[in-house]
Amino acid sequence: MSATAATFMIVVWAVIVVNTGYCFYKLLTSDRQLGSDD
Amino acid sequence: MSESPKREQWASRVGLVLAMAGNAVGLGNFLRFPAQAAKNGGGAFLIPYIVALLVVGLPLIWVEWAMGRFGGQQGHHSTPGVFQAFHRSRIWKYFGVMGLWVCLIIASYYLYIETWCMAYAGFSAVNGFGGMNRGQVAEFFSQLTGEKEYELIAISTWGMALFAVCIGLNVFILSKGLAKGIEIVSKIGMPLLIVFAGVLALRGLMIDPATDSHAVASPMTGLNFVWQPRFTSLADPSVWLAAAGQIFFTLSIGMGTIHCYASYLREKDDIALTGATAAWTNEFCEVILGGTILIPVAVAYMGLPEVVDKTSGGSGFGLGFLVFPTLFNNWGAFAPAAGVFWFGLLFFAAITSSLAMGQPVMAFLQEEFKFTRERSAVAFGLLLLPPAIPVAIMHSATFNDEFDYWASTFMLVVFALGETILFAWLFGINRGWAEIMKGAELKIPIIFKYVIQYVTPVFLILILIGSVFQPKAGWQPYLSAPFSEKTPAWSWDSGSVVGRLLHLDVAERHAKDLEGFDTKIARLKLSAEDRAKEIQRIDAKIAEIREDKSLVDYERDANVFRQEQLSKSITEMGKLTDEERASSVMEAVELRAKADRFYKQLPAWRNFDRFLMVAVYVFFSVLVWIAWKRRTAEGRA
Repeated sequence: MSATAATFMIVVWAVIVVNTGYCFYKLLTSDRQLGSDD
Repeated sequence: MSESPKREQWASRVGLVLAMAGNAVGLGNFLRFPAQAAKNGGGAFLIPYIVALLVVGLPLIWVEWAMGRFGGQQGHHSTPGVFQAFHRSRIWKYFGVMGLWVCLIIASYYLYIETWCMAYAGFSAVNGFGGMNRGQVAEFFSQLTGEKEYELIAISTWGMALFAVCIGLNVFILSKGLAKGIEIVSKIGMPLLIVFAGVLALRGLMIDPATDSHAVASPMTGLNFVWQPRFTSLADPSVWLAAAGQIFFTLSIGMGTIHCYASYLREKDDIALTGATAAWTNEFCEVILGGTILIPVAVAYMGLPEVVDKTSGGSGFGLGFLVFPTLFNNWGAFAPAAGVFWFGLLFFAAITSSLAMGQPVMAFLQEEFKFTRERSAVAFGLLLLPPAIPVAIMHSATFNDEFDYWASTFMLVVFALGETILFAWLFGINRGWAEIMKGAELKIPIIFKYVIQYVTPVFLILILIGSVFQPKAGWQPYLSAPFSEKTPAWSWDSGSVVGRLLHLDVAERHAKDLEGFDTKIARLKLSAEDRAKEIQRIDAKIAEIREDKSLVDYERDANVFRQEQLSKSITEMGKLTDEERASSVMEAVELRAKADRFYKQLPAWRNFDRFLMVAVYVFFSVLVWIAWKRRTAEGRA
């Protein structure tokens, strides 16, 4: 695998993993439940 | 009619995210995305893909969630009512009919493919594909679908029985409701799908040509093919169109399913974070998992040139269903499990999406005609039959392809453009933005407000124009040098909306296939001397291709591969006895006549298919008309 391809893949994967991880982290650590008022 | 059903709701946020992600993650994540990326510039495809995600994907996800939640507060769970809630003009509820129509039409063929996944997973579990070659797998597929070359009628008794089971399974799950049906299936199916895909991706990347005697290349060559940036492709507008199209398919935008799921939320429930989580989960499944299985494994066992050849149409469907079962056989004792994992993950991807297509139709019947949940689920199953039966008993080039093109390619963009205008311009972007941010647990950058108002609609209009008027020579020559003498004369691309309306794709395939038969017949009749000359001509062409500097490496290899295959087949023809040659000529002549008849009849069947699609739209519009008459009479309009 070429260095350019590997770099490209890692950058895109990192963007996706970081965003997915961040969203799940916020979601799972949130106190809010469906239907709550606050 | 029974009394009004109790308002349904999701049991948990994680369940909702998985159901929404399951709605988005479908067959396209694993079969279409890798082939599209490979066809449209490898790593560079990801640039327009991510741009499209930011300017169309995520904004529309938030718009649809906001519209759904807003409509749900007013008792609407399907798009006719949701759209009507956003603007008083009565036209919007009829535009919203598209959200029922698209779901029913797509479900009618999607469930059929889901049936194949189920059958393939079951057959893999009993090691049915063990020792099979590609021809035998193709025969299995033909038996399952009843489809034979150039035959319009395609009936398979057991294929249809399994289809009925699959529809029944969907109806059963839907009848259990959101929390006890869809949410439970998503909570089981999505993690299993990710585990199955992860195991296959890891096993695929471990293929080592040094120790695996069946491997012809490293899987890294396949990964390199998918990810190697070819920046020249960025100048081609069709690559941008393809990337935007992929974002549409993958996120299930413009279908009415997201509106429906979000309509069961309360006014202050967050949609910003929940919507983004579902969207990024889909991207994880598509780019990271989907991009690491199909092409790397196929390249390892088939070589790059053949894989390029097989994915040149931008679909990995043939590889996934016809070739993969034979490739898994190279994994020895793990082969049956690999088959179950692959077709199991495709099945879970499909069922979580097909359930999402059933819910809007059910919700419409429940809220407007006071159907119970069970009754509306059965009604959805019955409504599926008129479009699904032709899909099951006719050649895929008739109903299946036509439904797929109009419902899941063209109408999604029309629907999305309409809802963006409704949300950002008629409802008003300030009110719309406030709606998105209500109860938000994620601070969405304010720039997205302007993206939704200006960039998304412009992008959608460009996609629409691009796909309706796509020229045969592509957009590049007309955009770069529109008045040059070298610019080709305008003719419609057979895949454009205009080309499709005029059946140009059928005419193109008709001419190509007949030409193929004529060439084959002429080659079968060649004398030994002429055959040798033909092989020499092909060798010269191969040398010419190898010298062609305008071609990228992988394109050159694929072209050489095609010529080598041709040369091999001509050599094989030379080994035939006179009797065998005469019989082959006769066979080719008969098949040519059959193909000719098939293509001549195809436009009529496609027109019938279009009539059926219009009839379904009219049917839903009449139901909406009746429903609003009743609403007006009851003072609820």
